[in-house]
Parts: sequence; C-alpha cells; structure tokens
Amino acid sequence: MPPADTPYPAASPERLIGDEPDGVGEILAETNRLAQAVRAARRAEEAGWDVLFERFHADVHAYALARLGDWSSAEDVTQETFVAAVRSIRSLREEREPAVQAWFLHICKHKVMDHVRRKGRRDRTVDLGVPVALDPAQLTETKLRADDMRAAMADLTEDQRDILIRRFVLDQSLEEVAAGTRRTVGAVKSMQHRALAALEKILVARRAA
Amino acid sequence: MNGSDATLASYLIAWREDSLRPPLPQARERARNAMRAAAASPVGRYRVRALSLPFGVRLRRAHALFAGAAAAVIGGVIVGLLGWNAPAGSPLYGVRAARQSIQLVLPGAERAALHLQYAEASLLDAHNDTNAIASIANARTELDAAQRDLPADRSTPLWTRWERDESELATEETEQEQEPRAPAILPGSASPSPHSSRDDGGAIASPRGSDHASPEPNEGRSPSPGASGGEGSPRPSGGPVGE
Repeated sequence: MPPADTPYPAASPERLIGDEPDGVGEILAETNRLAQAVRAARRAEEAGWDVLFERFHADVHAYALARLGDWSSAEDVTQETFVAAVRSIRSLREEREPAVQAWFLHICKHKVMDHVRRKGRRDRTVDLGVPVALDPAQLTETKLRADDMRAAMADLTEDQRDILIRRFVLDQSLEEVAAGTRRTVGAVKSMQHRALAALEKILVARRAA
Repeated sequence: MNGSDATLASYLIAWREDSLRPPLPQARERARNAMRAAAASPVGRYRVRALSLPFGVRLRRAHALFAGAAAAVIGGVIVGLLGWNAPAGSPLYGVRAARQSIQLVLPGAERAALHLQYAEASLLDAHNDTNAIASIANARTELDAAQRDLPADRSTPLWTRWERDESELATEETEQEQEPRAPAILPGSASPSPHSSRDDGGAIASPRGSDHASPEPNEGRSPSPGASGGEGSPRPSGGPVGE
C-alpha cells in the first residue's frame, strides 16, 4: 500500500482491475488462474493472453500515462508493451502475480524509454485524449499540476521515476517495489526519499517563481 | 505537514489522478487486437532460434554459440600447446615466435639471456635435423639480437655462453654447407614440399642418424669438447635451453 509513512496520498481502496479476492480460497483460485493463463500464453493460446491483458492492461497503461502524460503516447506504449510481451513470453520464468506484474512493468518501462528517445523529448505533455469522470475545472487544475509534476520528474533518474510511479500511482508497497525492481527495501526507501526531496525542491522553486 | 510537504502532496495527488484515468475503450481494443495478432502469428511469437544439423538434430542457437566458443577455446589451447616449441619453419612456429616475443617484453625479462636461450633451442633443432636451414637462420637471428643486448663487460658468463653458441652455430652452418643441398622450409613459407624436409622420413637420409653418411661425424663441429656439451649430447651447448 502506498506510503503510510509519508504525508503523501493514501492508497486508493480499489484495485486497478476488479476487486481483491476476499478469502484464502479465492486468492488461491486467482493465483491458479493466473498461473494457468501464463502457461496458456506460453503455448500462444489466445485465452491465456486475454486473461493477462485483462489483469495487467490498466497497470501498464497507468504506468505509461504517469510517465508520458500524453494520452495517445501512453496508448501506443501500452500496445507495444503487450506485443513485446507476446514475443518474449519465454523470458517470464515465474507465474506468481507480483512477478508477472513486475515483468509487464519492466517491459513497459523500456518501451517508455524507447518512446521518449524516439520522440527526442523529455516528458513534454500534449494531451490528445478525452478525460473521463472529472469536472472540467478540476480536470484543468489536476492536469496542470500533473504536467508540472512530470516536468519536474524529468530531472530525476529513470530508476527514481520508476519507483515513484510504482509507489504513488500503482500503490505498490515498499516490499512489492523492492521485489519488482530487484532492490532491497532499504534501497527503495532511500531512493524514494531522495526523489521526493528533489521534487519538493523543484516544485517549490517553480511555485515561487 | 509543512507548506512544502503540502505542495508536494497536492502535486502527487494530481499526478496520480491524472495517470489513473482509464484508457479509451477503442484504444484498449486496439491494443488487445495487436496482442492477439502477435500471438497468432508465428513470426510475432517468441521463437527458439535453432540451428538444423544433420540427422534431424536441432540445436538452440545459444547452445550452438556456447559450443562454438568452447570449441574455439579448446582449439586455441591445443594449438598453443602444439606450437609452444614448434621448430622454425613448421606451420605452428608462429605460436612459438609469439610466445618468445611476449617473454621478451615482459617486465624484468633478461633479453640477452632469453635470446641466447632461443638461439640454443634453434641450434638444438638444427642439431636434430628438424628444419635445419630454418633453425640455423633463426639461431643466427637470435644470436645477433643477443649480442646487441649483452652487457659491455665481456667477462660476464653471458658472453662466454654467446661465444660458445656462436661456435656451435658456425659448426652447424659448416655441416649444412657440406651436406647435399635440399630445399628447406623457411619460416613463413607455405606448406613444405614432400622432398624439402630431411626429417620427413623421405629419401634424404639423416646425416647424424645411425645411417650417418659422413665418415667423420665430428668434423667441423665445436672447437672445444666443452662447448658442444659432449659427444652424443643432443644439446648444442651447455647453456640452459630450458624450454
């Protein structure tokens, strides 16, 4: 869950896709379903890929949008991520949900980097999409702040951005981020702290200016 | 929460809200269709890159690369071992020449002693009729190089050793001139002619074997018994060949 140890936004109670399974039996069934889907995907069966798509599409899209801010670019990157996942499914060794999610996000991270490199830009945001479920005034303010945030994040390292997205957009716990990025919890904490301190400095300076 | 914390928190909340906007349904379907197309296409799917070998054997490319690298390393080691002391003129002499060149440039190398050692090894080859002409030429080169690197003080043991080797070389050269002329394999030459080598068991008899043709085996050899290392000794000098 997000940053209970910081004054920053609390985790949203709902998951990005579907509801959390309630009991142990449901969790086991869900785990088993995902493992079966991974095995089916390895056999290039469409049904397996559909399950993976349903489960991880929102995560991948949120990651891309958090990083790029550009609606159409985020959609392109999300699509590229799933196509690349099909091509590299054999590199997915585990069938547990956190590992599969980490695998998708890892592919997405590299697709985002490729995209940024291709376009020759650093987090410039041009929103071409249609926002959903927010009133226009709130949207404008939210959008402006979000774009400022992305612009400020351009001064961070790729790994720092990666950790911030996982923590504050995808609501991953420190342990989940550590497992997904193959770091220790201490290292993740330290990187998050440095990244937030840097962001704070940049944003306060901008506001003052 | 102080002011800057609140500022950062408001930005983080806005960023989060903006990033969690759900994708457009059309875009989602487009991504799904692209993924399905990739999964259905044999080109798009992950393929094990394999090499087809005879008898229906298929080898993964990674395995083939590993096997190739291992074979190259093993082959290199074998060539290195075979060529370590290859006589001048032999196809693997390059390995020996490379080794000697490296030894000469190593820190702390005694160049004069090393050149003498190489010359003595070549003299030994010539003495054993192993590519004699090329070995003699090589010994000459090494002795000349040794002379350039010898200390100015001619009373040092290295000078004595050099003189002894020079004498031995002169003996070998004299013997070579007296023997029937046969084309030799020179260093860097192409594959040897079937009649060019005297150690190939061909028609040209060895001058120093049991069927030695010369009535006087020691004629023209080393001027002093000590210098030749004694009769019957395979070594051209008393110095350390040590290779």
